[in-house]
Amino acid sequence: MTGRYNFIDHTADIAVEVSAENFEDLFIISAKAWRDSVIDEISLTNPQEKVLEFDDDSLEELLVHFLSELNYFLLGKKWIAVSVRQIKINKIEIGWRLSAAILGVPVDEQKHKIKIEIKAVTFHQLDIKFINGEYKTRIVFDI
Amino acid sequence: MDSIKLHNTLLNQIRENVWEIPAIGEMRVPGRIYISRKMLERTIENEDALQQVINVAHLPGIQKYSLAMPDIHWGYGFPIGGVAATDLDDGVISPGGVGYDINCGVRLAVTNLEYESVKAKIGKLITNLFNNIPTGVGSSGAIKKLSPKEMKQLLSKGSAWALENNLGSSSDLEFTEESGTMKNADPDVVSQHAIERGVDQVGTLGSGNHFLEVDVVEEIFLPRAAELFGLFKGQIVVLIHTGSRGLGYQICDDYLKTLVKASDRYGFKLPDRQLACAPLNSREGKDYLSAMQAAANFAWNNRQVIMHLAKKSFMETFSMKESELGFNLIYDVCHNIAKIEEHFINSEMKKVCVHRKGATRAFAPGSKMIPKKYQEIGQPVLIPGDMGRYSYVAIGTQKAMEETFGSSCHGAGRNLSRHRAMKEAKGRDLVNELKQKGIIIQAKGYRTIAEEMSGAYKDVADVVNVMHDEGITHKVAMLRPVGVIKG
Repeated sequence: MTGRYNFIDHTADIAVEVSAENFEDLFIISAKAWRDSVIDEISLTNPQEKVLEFDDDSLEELLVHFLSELNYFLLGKKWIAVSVRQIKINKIEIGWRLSAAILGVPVDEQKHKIKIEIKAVTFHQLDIKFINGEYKTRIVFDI
Repeated sequence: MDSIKLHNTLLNQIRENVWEIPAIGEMRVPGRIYISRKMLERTIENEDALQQVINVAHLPGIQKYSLAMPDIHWGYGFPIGGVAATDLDDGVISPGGVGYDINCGVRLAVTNLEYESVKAKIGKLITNLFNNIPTGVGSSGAIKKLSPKEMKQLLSKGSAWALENNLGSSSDLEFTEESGTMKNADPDVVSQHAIERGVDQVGTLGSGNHFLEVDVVEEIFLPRAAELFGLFKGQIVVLIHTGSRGLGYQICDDYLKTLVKASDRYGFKLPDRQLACAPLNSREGKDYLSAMQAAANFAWNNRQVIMHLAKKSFMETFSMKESELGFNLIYDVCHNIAKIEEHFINSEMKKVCVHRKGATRAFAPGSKMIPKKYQEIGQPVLIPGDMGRYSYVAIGTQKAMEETFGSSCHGAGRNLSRHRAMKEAKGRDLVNELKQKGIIIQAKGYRTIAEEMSGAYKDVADVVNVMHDEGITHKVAMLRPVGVIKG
């Protein structure tokens, strides 16, 4: 896997810039940025797997949808997505399709300190662009 | 009158604190910002908020102006402090004009207590409030977890649900905007994801800028209005600021995705995807409105339950009966909402959808939409500041009806990013600093106290004074915090 992310200063919320060599890695690194925003170090003992599969009209919508699902797992299901075991992103007739297997654990309030509540993953300034041999985007989490 | 250029945007001064952005390009109406010159130059210097006022002016069916209140700052789609009314027949509704925290709002209750006689017990009171009202990230468990059926009933009934469950009184409904229930709320257009995020959060404050404050009435500006509200100098009052919690965030998120697709389908050319919208008379538009109303009902009920828990905490702390305590609601207002209202536009009374995002309804004396008791003076407008300074109570005016679709400001707005605030807080003992000022605080973690410290916010007095000086709202009273609980 290639790629990296950096948090950038934002008045009210969390903004992150993500870069990777391909779409799959861009999504994996984005998931890592989301995870690191909400929780400190977490070990993956006895992981459970959840499968995600959906289509969207654009890559940007697909990325927001993907991260929103991870956020919902945490806040609706009390389950923290720790890593992406497998991910495929394919162009389809109309739009894009994502298939992913996510590894995670149920939230244990004694062990896991949730740092912040991300209300939503926004479309603000989200534009996936290919620049200097890398895919780049900015993601803003509303907190 | 003057003109200035900020970020390549021309602003023409209309009055002392009113600036207009002329309609150019694809803008359907001009922009109008209520703000002092000092605030305009200082607070909008590094923000895209001006551009967002312009963007909102592109919405199909927008009427008169894309408006912004003096607490304008950058938001998603609409700026925070943004107000826009759209035509019911050929206009749109946009989740970006409401915000993620649907019906985030403020509730103010008065007590019979005087600060001087109870100040020794404020510490104990804050501890009891903190123990009885869940706060913090994903806080839950104020009342038993609801079944999906109960949750749907709550979403239909709003504050009335609390009453049915012995968590409030009928006068609480009378003094809540919309009586705490939007009648067209439809739980069937709320996703399972949203229900799951909200099901155990009834009666919880949450995190971020949400709070419960114990305040003392510091100053009275309008004695007649204060008397009608039951406010007097030195009195202990309670201010509650929270919204629809995870349920509302998820509803906004769900419908934003739906409306991004709908906007393309209807051929809307929008300058920002966060302004995604659908015609008010379309299936998508109607479904969003009904789901948003369900979230609004959740929020009113949430503040109602928190008020009940607060009242219990007061009774426990001061060993008082309910009748002695006099814990009565002055009013509950929302500041993130879209509502169908009648306004006078181009010489005729017209039904429009008023989006208020970080803006408070401020209806005039005589309005049938406000409690009978207040019709002589106008609707109470509650404007919280920061936890180290003050908050305000004001009233709506006829001028607000004529100029701002009956809307006013909603708060102070951030001055520093959370990151900057954390840096500024490093090495300081903020809890003790507040204590020195006579304010006792309890929060889930020090991080919240640092991020929400007084200096991270602008001075709310500047905001309130603009609306007062322009005659949109009149100041009634100033409140000073003496105790705070936060997430």
